[in-house]
Amino acid sequence: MELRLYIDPDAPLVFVAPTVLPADAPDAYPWLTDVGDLVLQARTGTVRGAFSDQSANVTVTLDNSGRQASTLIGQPLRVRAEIEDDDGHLYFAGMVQTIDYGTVVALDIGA
Amino acid sequence: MSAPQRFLANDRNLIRTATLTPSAVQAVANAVIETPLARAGSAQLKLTGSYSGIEDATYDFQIEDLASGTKLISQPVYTGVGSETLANVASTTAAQDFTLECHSAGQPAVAAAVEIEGVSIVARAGGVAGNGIHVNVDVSGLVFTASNFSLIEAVTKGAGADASPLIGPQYDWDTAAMGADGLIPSTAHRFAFEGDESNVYVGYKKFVDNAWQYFTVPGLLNDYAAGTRVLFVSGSYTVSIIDDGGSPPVTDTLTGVVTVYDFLNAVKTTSTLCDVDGVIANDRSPTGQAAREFALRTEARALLSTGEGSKAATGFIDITVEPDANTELVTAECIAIDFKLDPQAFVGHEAWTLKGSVSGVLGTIYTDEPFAGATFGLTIPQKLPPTTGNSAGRFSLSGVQYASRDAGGSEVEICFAGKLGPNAVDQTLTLVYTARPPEGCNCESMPVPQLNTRCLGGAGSDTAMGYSAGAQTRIDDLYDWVSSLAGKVTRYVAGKGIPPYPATTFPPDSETASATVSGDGFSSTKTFSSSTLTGGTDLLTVADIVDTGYADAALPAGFTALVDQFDSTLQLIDALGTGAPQTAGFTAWDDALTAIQGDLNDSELSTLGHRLASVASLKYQLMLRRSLAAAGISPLGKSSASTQTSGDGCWQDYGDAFYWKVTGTDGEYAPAFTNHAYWSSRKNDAGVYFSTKEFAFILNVKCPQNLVVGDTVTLTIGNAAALGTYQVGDILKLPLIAAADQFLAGGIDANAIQKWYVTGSVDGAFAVYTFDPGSPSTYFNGGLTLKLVMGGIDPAAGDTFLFSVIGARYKWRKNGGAYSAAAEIPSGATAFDSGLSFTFIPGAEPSFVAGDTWTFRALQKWAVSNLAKPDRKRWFPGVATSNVYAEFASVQTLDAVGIALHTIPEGASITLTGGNVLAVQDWSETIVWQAGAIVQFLSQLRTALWVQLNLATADASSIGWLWVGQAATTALSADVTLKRNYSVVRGQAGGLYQGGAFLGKSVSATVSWQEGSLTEADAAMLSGSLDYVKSNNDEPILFVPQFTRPADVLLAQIVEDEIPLPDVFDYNPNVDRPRALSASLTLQGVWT
Repeated sequence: MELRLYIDPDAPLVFVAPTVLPADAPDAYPWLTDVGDLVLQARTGTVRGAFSDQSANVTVTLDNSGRQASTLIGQPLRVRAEIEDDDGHLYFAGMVQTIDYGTVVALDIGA
Repeated sequence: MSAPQRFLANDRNLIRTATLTPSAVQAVANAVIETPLARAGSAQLKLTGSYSGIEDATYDFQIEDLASGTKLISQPVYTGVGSETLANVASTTAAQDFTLECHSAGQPAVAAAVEIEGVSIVARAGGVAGNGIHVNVDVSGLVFTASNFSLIEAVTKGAGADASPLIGPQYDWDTAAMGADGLIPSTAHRFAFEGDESNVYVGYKKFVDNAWQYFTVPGLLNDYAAGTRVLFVSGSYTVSIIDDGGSPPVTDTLTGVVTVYDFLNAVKTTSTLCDVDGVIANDRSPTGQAAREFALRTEARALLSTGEGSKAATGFIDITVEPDANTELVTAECIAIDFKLDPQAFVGHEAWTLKGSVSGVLGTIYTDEPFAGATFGLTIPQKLPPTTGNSAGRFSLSGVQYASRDAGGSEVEICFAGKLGPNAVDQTLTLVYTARPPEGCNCESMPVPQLNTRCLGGAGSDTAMGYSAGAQTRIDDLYDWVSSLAGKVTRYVAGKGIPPYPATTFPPDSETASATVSGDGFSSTKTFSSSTLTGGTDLLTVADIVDTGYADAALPAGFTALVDQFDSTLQLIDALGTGAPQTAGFTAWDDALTAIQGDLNDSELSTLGHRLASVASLKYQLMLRRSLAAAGISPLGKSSASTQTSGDGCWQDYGDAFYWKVTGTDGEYAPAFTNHAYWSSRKNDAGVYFSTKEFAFILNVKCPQNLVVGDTVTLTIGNAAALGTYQVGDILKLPLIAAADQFLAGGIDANAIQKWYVTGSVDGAFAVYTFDPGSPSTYFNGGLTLKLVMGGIDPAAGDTFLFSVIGARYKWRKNGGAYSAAAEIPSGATAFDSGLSFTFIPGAEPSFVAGDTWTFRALQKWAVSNLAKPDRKRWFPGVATSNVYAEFASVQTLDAVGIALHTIPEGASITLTGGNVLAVQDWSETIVWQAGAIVQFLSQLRTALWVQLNLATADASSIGWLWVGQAATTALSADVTLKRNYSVVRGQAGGLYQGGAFLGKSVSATVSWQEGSLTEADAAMLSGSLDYVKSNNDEPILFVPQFTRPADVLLAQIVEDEIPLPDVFDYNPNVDRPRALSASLTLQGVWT
């Protein structure tokens, strides 16, 4: 998996898993610790949930044990984000909707 | 001795404070992030390239000032509706602002169209050719049948509409009731009101609020008077859609059109020329297309005729409109209702002045006499006063006074019978028996010139003849022809000189053998000689020509008499004044003239003289009499010039030697003759008698020979005042509408060529940019180059691009240092530092403003400084052989080296060299590789001012943490337990196979000093390291359980944030007594 954050539209920040060798991704930050489940657009089936729905979204986490991730990306709300699978195909694209800071930075990316 | 455990925490790491210099750092792409800053200008600055600096850096760029050395083009600013863009803009001009404005955006083909009945009829083919398509409506198929219904009361315009129904049984004209479906039945009558056949309605009724309400579709379009007849309408329209411009012309004929729906449906389904742009619905609801009569009219037609003034003035009848009628308002104003103002006017025969707003004055017409003009015809309806059937008034013989008679003469009985006419007025008539004047003394035959009215305050002309325009034209035609004929029969006699007539055109060359003659009879100047003048076939050779010796007109006497009769007859007809009788007379007179001109044509001059001499006078005299009869003039009455004339034939001169001179209150009437019926008549301006329609009588005298001149009869008229109908000043109106086909309009041919104005603020106007989207061309003019690129939306006139030719100077700095020298902003990318290039992108004006600053962060994720902290940021040289040089502030002592979070491959050569003096290597240690963390204790205690870690054959190597220094230990050994940890994510649902996802592994340990085995010094060392790692975000440390087994090293974080340090003596002893402390640490291995 590879996460691209377009904080600068012309120079996306790229994050890969820590197991990826630097030589394999010299331009990427190996801080991508998790890509959550992809939630497709879901409409409720209950009466109480009528008139509500949920956009497709996915949560990714970046290792922030040394605050390196939060220092780098700052507050990238509404920044375009793309997730590419290991085959190089675009897996999901959206915008950063929420950010949780901690030892990991959790980014909710919504379509 | 010390304990076997070793602690390598970062607080004791010499690398952390050393100056590090790597042999290489992997350059990183997309590593420059701009820091948002506010700027006055709109230009942008981009940094590109892979950043090869060894550490993160900041770059500041700033606009120093504006300059004009380098020509930069600002980003064009576009305003308009199109989506076109501007590309390839370049300029060698002076710095200035440019405007590119669309003057003409080309034109897509537009189909001609016309709105008919609320729906657009559109030409199927686009372009101007469609403007020639026109729609013609033939209404001849309509049949108007008088119904048994009429208006009981007047209705006003707009009545019958949905909001203003007509209520009452008087509006039920066999009206169909609307069905429950809200539709008008197809059996509903179509109807019109008499006199307004241009508007056809459909009627229906609804039962609302216990009453029938009557509606018309559409609502009434005019006011209609009470009594107006309702006409039922049947039949249909034939609509032609015509394109004359095609070759051959095309006509779509749509037959059977009754409603709007019929028309639209026919156009949609059958027309090759037009289509319908809109919804077509077979809807018979009151507002539906199938309920509305097709209302388009294109023929010349009359609208509803109206009247003003008296109640009788309601309008014209029997209206006919010719196809070439003008659009005009025809009015007739009543000018006379009795003989006092017009001798021919009487009740039921009033005189009117007819005018057309285009046709002008059309003359005087009379009630109940049809007027047939060139473009329309009409009749003023006769309106007679109510009568009981008997004559109104009293007309009686009131007295006879006999003149004195000779002896033996006897008075004679005079019987009277009379009747009053509609113009009768109360008066006393005096009839005096009078002898007719001798023939030679009759003044009636004396010529009377037309008395010009100009001097009477009128608008009369100065012509002495005073002919009407129609008569003037005819008299001109007559004498032009006669004059021409005379010229044709003129003979020149050789040797007799040139005739003096007309003297101004004939030269006085009288005695020459030849002469030049010009004038009437010759089409051009002609030279004659003796030889050519004898025996010529084109000369008159009849014997009775009077040889005067000059050119002479040899017109036979019979012919000239006939010409005189044509003249006098024309005068008699002209005297009638404008009207139908005069028109008929003129027409017959024209026939007579045409006949004689045909018989005496000059196509064969050789026989012309003979034909003139033997002209059939009687034939033409009869034709002239026929013209008098057509004009209503008794031919016999006009046959003698000495006989008085009657314009209408009512009065007649019976030729008696005696007559009764009739004198009324207002003057003299025509004379009456004994034993002959008499109709009151008076002369008009032309001296012709016309009946005054006042009275008629007969004086019967059985022995008229006994009447004596001077005998006087008195007649009395009383109570004769008749009620008038029309009154002077009444005005009748008739709007006429000229024929006009409905043309489609608005068709425009496609023209893709665009015109753009190019204007510079300094250089002024440049050549116009002519741009063809189908063949895009680049604009070159005056050093300016640009090219339009069309988008999805076409441009429109007024679309504008604004851009500037500009220049500026910039400067830059790194990490907040000193700015570079200012330089001209170059065009394109320019390399400046650590693999980076910058590019200024001009924006919209103002593009560059002095002081504008851009700040960038260049990120080096593989920075060598990453070696100083045990986190996941690594130093990555990117090459197989590399080194990193660390220089200390002073000579340091070291006994161990640690490498963690590395990706050094197995087989790589790792050495650590050092020295106490710069550039002088004193020692070298080979470090044994192992996966995971590496700790190696040096072969001996080393001192060094610098150390260098060398990697060889270490492709793809990276190191997260490099530790060099003296490892910490305690005096007494600790109890150590190692354990292996695995991070596996397992699904909650489990499943048949209880596997999980492996995330990482680590080796953890518990380290404890029990029973006071930790000295105060150990505790101080341990506390210092704890303080450091905890305050540095829980940094991991390298822990070696047994220093002779460095391979057991583990990289771990101290789990506890609260670490008890119990003293065996509970911190009670004095300061001179050492404490015996205990502690326990849990080391959680870092996942790898």
